Amino acid sequence: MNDVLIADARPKAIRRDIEAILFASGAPLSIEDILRALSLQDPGDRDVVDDVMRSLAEEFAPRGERGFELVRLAGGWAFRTNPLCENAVSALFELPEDASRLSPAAMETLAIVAYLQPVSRPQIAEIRGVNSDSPLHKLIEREFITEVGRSQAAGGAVLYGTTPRFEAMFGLSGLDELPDLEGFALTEPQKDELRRRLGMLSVPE
Amino acid sequence: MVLKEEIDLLEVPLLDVILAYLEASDESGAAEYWDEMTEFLILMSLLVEVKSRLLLPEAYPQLETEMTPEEARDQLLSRLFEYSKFRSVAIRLRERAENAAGALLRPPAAEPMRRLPALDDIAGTEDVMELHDCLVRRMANKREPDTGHISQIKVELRHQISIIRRVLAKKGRLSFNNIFGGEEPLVQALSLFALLELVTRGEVRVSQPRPFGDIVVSAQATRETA
Repeated sequence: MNDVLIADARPKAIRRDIEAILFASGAPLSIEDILRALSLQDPGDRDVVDDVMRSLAEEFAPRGERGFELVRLAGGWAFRTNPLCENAVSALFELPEDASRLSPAAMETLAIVAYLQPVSRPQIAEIRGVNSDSPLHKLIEREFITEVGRSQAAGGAVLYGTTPRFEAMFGLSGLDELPDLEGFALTEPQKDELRRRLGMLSVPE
Repeated sequence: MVLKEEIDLLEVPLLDVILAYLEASDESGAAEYWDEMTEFLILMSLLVEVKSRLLLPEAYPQLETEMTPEEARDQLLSRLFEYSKFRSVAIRLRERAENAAGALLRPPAAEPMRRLPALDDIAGTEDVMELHDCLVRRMANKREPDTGHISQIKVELRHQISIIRRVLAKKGRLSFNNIFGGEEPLVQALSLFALLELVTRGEVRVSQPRPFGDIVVSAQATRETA
């Protein structure tokens, strides 16, 4: 009987501890962070934590009944307020700036950096066909991208990559959650239409 | 522009496109973005060149280093294919940002500092970021040095003057060494200034029988009378 009670109490204690550290943390916590914080080192402990996270994610589901939600962001788990409570929260607190208000040029530049990182300024300009210094500066200012190194090629151009803030502000659990880029390629009919517009195909009668 | 405005490059007057773009930009507020307008100018100049090469090939005698109109078209097409993917995915990113907007990541009431790893644990690490992180946190947690062992001397000229006056009022004369000899050098110095101030005011009389010897202070008669 005692063994049953002990077995039942342990996940509850772990769950309570996890709730506490997620609450205390200002940044998303990875499963490794949680395992380390709770000194869980047994091989089976990861499964226990995974179960607890699933249970918490159900209880604090996105846009659910609770005032805050548990979300996977930037490679970890984090509590954040439920967007359905935006009016109440914004009455007292300044909400972070809306990333969706980036200019189209900045959003395209961000997409290029997100998919091709580490990527240099000339590579971005090559794809966009225009100088992209201004949108790059805006993205750096807003901490969506940052310098991540220098190109080994001649010139040693600065290379850019995205930041955890980018993932958080765009609701991404990690870069692997970005949709497959090839899924956005033009279809053959669309390509033919483009060729036609550029005078490379004769106009169908 | 070719993608967005569905321009048939050979048939549509570019002036109409420019006017339509400017009108749409005014309405949407995009005209306020300098980078957008600059990009528009560059793209239009590229299209003007491509179209003029298509319409008037003989006006552009081919140089050895120059691309043929076909090569220029191929390059533009290839770039548009690649660019179109990022333009489309940027729209998807904007949707994601819209969905994530309105939520607030809970900042802790007081930013908790993560516990630093023990120095032994990171000894020999080659992870620059780990070292940087550790150093930054160490600097942020740097405590003021403990100065408890240093006694703080609080002394004021006015207070030293009042001490001399009080002793003189009680005894009529005093020995400087007896009163201030055991004090810190700074207190002794300020007490001497206090004494000189009283001499200047004519309140006391001083005598020092030998150089560096004790100073005997007595109240001035006029002061006593007054």
